[in-house]
Amino acid sequence: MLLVIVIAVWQVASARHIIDPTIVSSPGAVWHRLVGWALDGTLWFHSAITIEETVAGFLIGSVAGIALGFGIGQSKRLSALLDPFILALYSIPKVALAPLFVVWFGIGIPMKIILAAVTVLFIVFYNTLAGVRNVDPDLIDAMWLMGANRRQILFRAVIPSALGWALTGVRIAIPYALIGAIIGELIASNRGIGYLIASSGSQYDTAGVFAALLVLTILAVALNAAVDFVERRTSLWKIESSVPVRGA
Amino acid sequence: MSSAIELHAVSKIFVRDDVAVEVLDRVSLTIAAGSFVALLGRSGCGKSTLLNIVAGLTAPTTGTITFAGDPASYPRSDVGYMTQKDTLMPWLDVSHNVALPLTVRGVSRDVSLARTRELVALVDLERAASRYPRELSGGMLRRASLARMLASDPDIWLLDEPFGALDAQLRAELQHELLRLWEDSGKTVVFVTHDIDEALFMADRIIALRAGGEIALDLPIDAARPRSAHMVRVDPAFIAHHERLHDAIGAGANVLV
Repeated sequence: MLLVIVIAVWQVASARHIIDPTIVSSPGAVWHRLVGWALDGTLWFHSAITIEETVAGFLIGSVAGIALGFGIGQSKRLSALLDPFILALYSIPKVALAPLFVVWFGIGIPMKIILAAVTVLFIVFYNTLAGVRNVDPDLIDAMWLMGANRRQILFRAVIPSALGWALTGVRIAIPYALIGAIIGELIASNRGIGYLIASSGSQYDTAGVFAALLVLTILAVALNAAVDFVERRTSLWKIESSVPVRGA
Repeated sequence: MSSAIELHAVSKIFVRDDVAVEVLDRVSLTIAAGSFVALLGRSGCGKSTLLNIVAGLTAPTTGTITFAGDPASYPRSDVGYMTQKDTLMPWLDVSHNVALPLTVRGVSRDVSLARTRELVALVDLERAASRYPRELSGGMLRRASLARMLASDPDIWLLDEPFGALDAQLRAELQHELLRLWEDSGKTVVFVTHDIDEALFMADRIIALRAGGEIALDLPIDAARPRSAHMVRVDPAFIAHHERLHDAIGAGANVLV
């Protein structure tokens, strides 16, 4: 209802030039542009690119983050040594790396995937590492008393115990994968939703900008809905109830 | 009777914030195979540390330990340790927790399955076999921990205040069950407690530690079994033991408490 009123006011205001349509466009123009994009395939082509980058970046970043988290967390000395560097890297806005990635990887799709993956990696890695560090030492003692070797302690106590933390990191990282992909597209590209926003903006095509933003919003909402769906379907997340949840 | 565990002048000094605290002071002790020994003392007297040392979780500052005459090496499969805190894996159900020591030792699936079923029945947890630790009551958690300790069939059972956190009725129930499991098993038990009645009810021998980790009293209890809780409270011999033990663990600790 609120949405209908806002759209109606927007439409009337821009039609009567109460507000400048070149600055804020109008719902009619945005709708017209969306339909045009949908019909000529522009919409599907650019959405598919962005989705591909987001999913690939998310998967690569998650797997690498979990592997690194367990790998480094296993060695107390190594993780103590790397701690200040990890914190420093974690604190950098990953967006700031985009120009560097353009130089290293070009302006193609791989650059966006890598940017999304790096963004995801740090969140997942940091949560996994926190999980490994928070494994109850009494559980490790219990395993040792049973005669477990290092590998058994890793697979039967450390990993199951820290998995809840790692998965929480994965859950938090999902929207960041989309952010990484879009930022990459905004900075340098010739395809993807981010490119649509940037190119429309540079041509003062506000209807195009709003239309692309609308598509992006729908993508983000759909992504969240997908996560919720998977979460409700997977019993894996139930492990979390036994560990404190920690944000990024 | 042969000795299961021997401690030779075992001392333990913890250093915390540059202050050395002596927790155990030259404890020498021989525990006979097949006996039920209670280590009695107030909290902080070092009894849990002593058990940790025997289990190999903590190294003594000085002194040595031998098992049946052989110098201790760890980890050892002939020692089972049930800690005060529950250390069941939260992501495994009761059956898998009980089976864990067997899994770790590479026991075949069939053998492990049969043995686990037997152990779960032994501690009366058949109906909770597929439940997770967070779904269990305090008593059930202790039963599951006991079953896990028994899984690898150790000759020595180390129990650190195993029923301390339970209500009186449940504690009495589990005390009976532990005795039932131990009797005729030939196993050696070292049972840490701060409860004089519990020690009197269960043990063949009570070793009282005073604050600072010295043996204050080494008291054989040769009363016949089965004993009853009532008997422990009214029998003149038990009352006399109770008073001696009370004085032994209380001496010097009154100031601290």
